[in-house]
Amino acid sequence: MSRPPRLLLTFCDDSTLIFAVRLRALLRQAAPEAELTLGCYLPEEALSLRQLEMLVPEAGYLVLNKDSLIEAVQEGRYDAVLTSRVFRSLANFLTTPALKHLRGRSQVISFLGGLDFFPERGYANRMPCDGVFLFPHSDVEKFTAHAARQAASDSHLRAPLVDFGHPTFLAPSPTPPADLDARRDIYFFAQAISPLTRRGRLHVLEAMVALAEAHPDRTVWIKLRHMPDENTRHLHREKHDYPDLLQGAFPEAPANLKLTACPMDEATRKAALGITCTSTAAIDLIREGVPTMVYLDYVDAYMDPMAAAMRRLFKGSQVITPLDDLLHLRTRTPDPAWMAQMFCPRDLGTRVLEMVDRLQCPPDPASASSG
Amino acid sequence: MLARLKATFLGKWLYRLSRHDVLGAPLRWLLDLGVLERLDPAHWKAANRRHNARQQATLAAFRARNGSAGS
Repeated sequence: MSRPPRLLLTFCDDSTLIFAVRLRALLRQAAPEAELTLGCYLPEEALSLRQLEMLVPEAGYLVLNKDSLIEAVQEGRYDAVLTSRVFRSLANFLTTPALKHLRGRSQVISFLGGLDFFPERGYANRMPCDGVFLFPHSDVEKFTAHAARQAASDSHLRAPLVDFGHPTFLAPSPTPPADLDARRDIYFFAQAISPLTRRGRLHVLEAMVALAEAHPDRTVWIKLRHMPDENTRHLHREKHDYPDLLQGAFPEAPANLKLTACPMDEATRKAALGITCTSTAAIDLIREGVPTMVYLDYVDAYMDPMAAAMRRLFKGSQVITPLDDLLHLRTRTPDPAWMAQMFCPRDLGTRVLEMVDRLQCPPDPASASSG
Repeated sequence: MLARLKATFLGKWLYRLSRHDVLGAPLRWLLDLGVLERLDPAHWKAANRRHNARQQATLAAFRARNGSAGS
């Protein structure tokens, strides 16, 4: 590609915006000359003003509706659209043969939204894309084989290019943060729908109360994913929010148990220890070298499909922690072999640009017509 | 929770009812309070009851050792 690449990074809610901002930083590093545009997809927009101010303070983004997104893709205004959510309009576009085949249109490269608890659904959603980035590493091979099978049996489909990675899942630095020993704060990273039941969430909350009582010299933070009035249109809508539960069930909780909705990066910078149930925060913590506990034995865990899925994804990681170890702050180092499967090399920005380049090259007509 | 209930005959019936013009709103309100999640048959399985009891006992013992249970 002779001119700088033009890339559109779409978002619609807090998780897709975090993805877009992180990927933009990697792309800037890999190609400072690239034209990078953030695009807020309005039909699925579910962000509060606070979240926008926190995550994209410069407010430099395009606002896209269904028509303007499709027009931009069809006219090839960008070399590629990079997205962690395959919006319905985009999927419809890519499953229409005359549009998929169109010369000069923007290529669409999708990433996973985060930890993929139900990969079969993710495979189907990403199949129409031109390129796909996946993790864990073992899924690259699985999806490649799946895509080849699908493409062989469906003349409307073409197998996408596949690579390994996600901007949240970058290989951790080999050395822990320099100030880790001096840190005191414990963070519990809440998730909107897991634990699923009120009783399960109260149990986890009581464990945090117990930690705060047992360690008055430390601050135990409940890191909220969002404020109770936010994310009401989010894919994962919270039913039993922690601020309400805390006020109702533990009105006399110790003063060193506090709530925060600070950015994830700030929490991982300050945490001496991070605890979560099924949140992607576990990945952020491990990546940043913070001791991490994944607690999946909470009350009513059997009601929660995400607990079983998280257990599957973190099998062999050594960070799944029983309650007694959690309460006594007994942490374990993540297993290196598991980490190699889950975390991608830090050259992700370069590999994304390479994929964009490859997709720009028209397919060889001889190979397209063969067979 | 409704999505989970939809897998059962009772759940399907409740789901249809939750879309009812008149009865739907109060039923959805009850669901939001978490009433139906307490009636789930999964709670009656012995293994699940043992699991919950074990977690609650571990937590209660820890808080008792620290002299703060029930405070």
